[in-house]
Amino acid sequence: MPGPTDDYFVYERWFNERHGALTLPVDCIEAFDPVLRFTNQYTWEVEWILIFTDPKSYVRIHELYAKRAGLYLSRRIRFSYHYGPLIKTLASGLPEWEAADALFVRIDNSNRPPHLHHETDAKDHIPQSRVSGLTLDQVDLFDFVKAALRHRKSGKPIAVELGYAII
Amino acid sequence: MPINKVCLSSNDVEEMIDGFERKYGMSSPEFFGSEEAKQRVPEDDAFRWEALIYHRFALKEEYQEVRSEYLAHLGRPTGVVRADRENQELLAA
Repeated sequence: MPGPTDDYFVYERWFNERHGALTLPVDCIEAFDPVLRFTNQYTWEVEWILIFTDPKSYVRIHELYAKRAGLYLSRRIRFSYHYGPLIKTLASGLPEWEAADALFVRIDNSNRPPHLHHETDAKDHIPQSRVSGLTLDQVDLFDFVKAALRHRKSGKPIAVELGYAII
Repeated sequence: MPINKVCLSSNDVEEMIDGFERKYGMSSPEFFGSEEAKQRVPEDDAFRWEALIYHRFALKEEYQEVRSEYLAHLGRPTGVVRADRENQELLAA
């Protein structure tokens, strides 16, 4: 399940508990501490980048929550979970990705309903109707990260580690 | 390490929005109003830009709420009416 939507205080507790329980491999560095940017308790975003050195690849998590109209509750407006080879970096050293670049998997809801980009064709926006075994808008960001860590260790396809198949 | 919390101010948000507008040579309404313009911006930057617009909206909404409460406290209903009108303009933008 995605993170809690009550407010950023609840989300922050949830994130810190899960993040604290995560063991990262020695070749993994956090480009910066996960950052939670907020403007009020109902509007926040989280960005988190893990960089692996051998072979060079990275995971980038970004999600945005904003207030539900008329309610004291938020909803996830946008999300993007990316795992792929490190091809380009910005001057800051952070990974940069463009639509044509190779990846292992990316799940996001950019400009359309939640969809998946699979490693065989990064440009293909695969809708939920063509994905079995995984509900795209219900993927837990920590499950995504753990699947990436397993993928690096096991060498099995990322689809196996994340538990989906393309129909 | 626990998550690093950053409280964005109005200045922070406006500066970052301005940065994207200069980087891609278009205003925020131009960017969000055109599919073609969106295609010119990498998805990760588009996400950051969109997030800033949500932050801007949240800040303006908070400002209006505080202002309305303040004016109500002063017993000046005309101020509240004006705040509502400004809010509608924001929603229409």
